[in-house]
Amino acid sequence: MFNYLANPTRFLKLQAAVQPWLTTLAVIVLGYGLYLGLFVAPPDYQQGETVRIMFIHVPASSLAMGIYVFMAFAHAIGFIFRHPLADAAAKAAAPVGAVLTLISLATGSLWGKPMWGTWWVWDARLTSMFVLFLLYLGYIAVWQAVEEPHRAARIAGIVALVGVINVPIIKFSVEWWNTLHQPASLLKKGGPAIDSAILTPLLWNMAGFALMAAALVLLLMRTEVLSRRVRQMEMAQVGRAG
Amino acid sequence: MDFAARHAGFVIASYAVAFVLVGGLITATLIRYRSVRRRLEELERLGAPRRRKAEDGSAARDRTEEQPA
Repeated sequence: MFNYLANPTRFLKLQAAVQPWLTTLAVIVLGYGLYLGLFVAPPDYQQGETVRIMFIHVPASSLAMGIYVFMAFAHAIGFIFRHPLADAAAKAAAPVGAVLTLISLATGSLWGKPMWGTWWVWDARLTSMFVLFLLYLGYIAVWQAVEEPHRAARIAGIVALVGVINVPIIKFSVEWWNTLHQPASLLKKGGPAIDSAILTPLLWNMAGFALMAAALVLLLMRTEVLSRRVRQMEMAQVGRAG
Repeated sequence: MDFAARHAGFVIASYAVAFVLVGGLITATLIRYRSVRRRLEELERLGAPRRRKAEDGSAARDRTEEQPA
């Protein structure tokens, strides 16, 4: 499969076949998850209705971190195996990750105001998440600033691989430092510390967000492969004219 | 959800922010995809070759250039 996808034309064929199914599945799962989160899940005994913010905040946050790890992994594959689509996959994932990070920061802030009494504190979790957003912006800026794609991929790869160190810092910040942000309640020893009435919609939304992100990344990858083809054709045309 | 509940506005604002940001990303993605596809079709119509010729006349290959499936 790995080598099979090394051919951009094969990838385009596979993507065209998978895209409609993946998009439909994402719409169904996310739609059901949002319905459960907004209309079925009960209000929390402490947080009240604001617990519903968690149904978008938690999936957005976990995916924002997951996508950055995916980008670093893709660039590592690009560096080691010279896989022709690895850089394109990482580049395609960046805007999705950046938007999810922004959603995480914004919804976290909207949850923090009624629950903590403040929109923002510079605690370890919030600050490291903000650093992740800056890393995404820096990564995207590299691709925009460097015109030659292979050079841009190399520099962006370094940004992704160096920046990935921030992901475990985000994850363990609530354990390493005394933070206002609560410790992990989903991925922890002894299983999730969340009641099934809240956990079920949360998991549906996490699956829905992941499918939506995958569908968007696939379409962005297709766009990237086609835009590289356009670039080659334009250069060939210039060469022919010269 | 009780829309009249205390702090309901924060919940609505959160979902609105997420909806606007994801909607914006989807719209931007589709606009970019369509513009790239249109440009590709235009170049194909003009008969632009898919690979440039190297100095010796052979086709210069690029890692991401189209290869037969």
